[in-house]
Amino acid sequence: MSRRARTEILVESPAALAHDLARAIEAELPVRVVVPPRQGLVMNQVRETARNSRFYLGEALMSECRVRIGDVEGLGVVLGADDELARSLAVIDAAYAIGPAPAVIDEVERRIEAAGNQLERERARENARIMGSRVSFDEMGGQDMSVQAVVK
Amino acid sequence: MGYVAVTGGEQAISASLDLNERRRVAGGRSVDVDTVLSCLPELVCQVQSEGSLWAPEVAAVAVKQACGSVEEAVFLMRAYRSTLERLYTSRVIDTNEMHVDRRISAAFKDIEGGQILGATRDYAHRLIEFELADETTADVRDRLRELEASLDASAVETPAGVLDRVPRVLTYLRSIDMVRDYPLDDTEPVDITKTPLSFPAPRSVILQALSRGLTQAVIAIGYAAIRGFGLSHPTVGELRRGTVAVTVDAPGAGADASEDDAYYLGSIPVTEVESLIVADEVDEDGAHRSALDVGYGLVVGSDESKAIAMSVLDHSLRADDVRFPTQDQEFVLYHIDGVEATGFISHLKLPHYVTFQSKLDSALRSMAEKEDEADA
Repeated sequence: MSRRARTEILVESPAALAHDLARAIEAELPVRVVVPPRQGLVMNQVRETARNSRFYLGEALMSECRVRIGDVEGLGVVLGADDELARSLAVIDAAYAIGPAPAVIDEVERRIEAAGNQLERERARENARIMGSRVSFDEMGGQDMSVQAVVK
Repeated sequence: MGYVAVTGGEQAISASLDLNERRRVAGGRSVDVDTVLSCLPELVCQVQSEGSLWAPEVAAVAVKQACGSVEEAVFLMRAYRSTLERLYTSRVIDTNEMHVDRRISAAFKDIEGGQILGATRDYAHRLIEFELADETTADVRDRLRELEASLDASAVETPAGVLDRVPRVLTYLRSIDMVRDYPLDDTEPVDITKTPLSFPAPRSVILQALSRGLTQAVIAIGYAAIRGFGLSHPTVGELRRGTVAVTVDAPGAGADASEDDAYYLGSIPVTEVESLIVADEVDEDGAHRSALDVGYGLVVGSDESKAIAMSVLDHSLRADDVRFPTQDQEFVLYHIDGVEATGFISHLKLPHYVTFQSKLDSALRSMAEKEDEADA
């Protein structure tokens, strides 16, 4: 699983997941905090679709923490002011950076995948509710006003 | 003639502050921040949009402290922002990957991906529901259960990812050469929080200033541009609302770092509008033809009027033609920022004793001279 996918599951799931996993890692491996949790800003840059250029949409409050396990560093970053979550995310990130992977990673990976499946189910349910508001023009006869028909 | 410092008034100021704070607590009730977040999400969003800082819990506190004044809450957010270090700049957010919860087009009836109404007031009876005056938290929870059951009954199963990659109307218009396709422009954006405005402003400055502009000012000037004080009359090609993911590269990663290796920080809600405006286009051979130009709007939160008005002004300001004030970059961009505008207006309340004395002296002298001339 990529770091992008892993961190999304950890951030979007209840924080208890990241805390549980961080505790499991710390029970096996010594963790040293390099940069204690702190708050700062992330500037969000966007690509606009009219001219394909970039601009700054604005900043967001975020929390950051850096830890070390042995020689490897882990980074925890999350929107909002949540020092504990930033620290837990950093511990998990550091554990993944260790090579070869420590034994605890198998269980961590299994729990993250399970949480990812749960998120998918929740998203599917919400998506289905939203798609219930999709307009159906099938019963409305008359002129075809689809994009393809209009631009022919 | 300059400003002069005066002393005194400390006791009066202290009493004034107490009176102001008493006004906040005079009702004898307190609202917790979670209630502000739950019950007034659009107000909290507006404060974040104009404050140019996504931090819902902080914005809710600002709303509470400001007793609901958007002007004051936005000022508090901007002041709070200035106390924090910028740790990261996000990877470039691609709104093609927005997780969409509403998406409509006013240009075409049938669009690939469909018209998805989502949550909107567009079809609601917009009359005051007086029964809300007696609504309790238990009522709200019951209502939520009812609505979720009703939505589950009308739900339409959909393949995973369909709302994460919704096709664009612009893609079709580009495919038939009605809208020009532009190559990726990776010019580093200018940040108006670090660089003073100068004119003509780069595109990145115009978009950033409009996006964080005073909501009602953006809407009012956008309206003026359509109504006759400008040349931009748009059709909303597409309006989409949803969330975009904020990700950052690992520290020290190069410019070509893989997205797979990025860190996901969370998502923020946005509303995006692509307006279509008929334009006269001149090709390389100098031949004129009718085509569609695109005005772009993107705002944090769900204020669709602001996003549409922003798209109108994006197009309008590209002309940088001062025949109309809505096309004058200096007129629009200097005056559209809430903190700048309210800051300047409210400074007029501050003591101007010396400058006013000077004006008064000058007027009195002039009057006296005229009287002398009349007597002579």
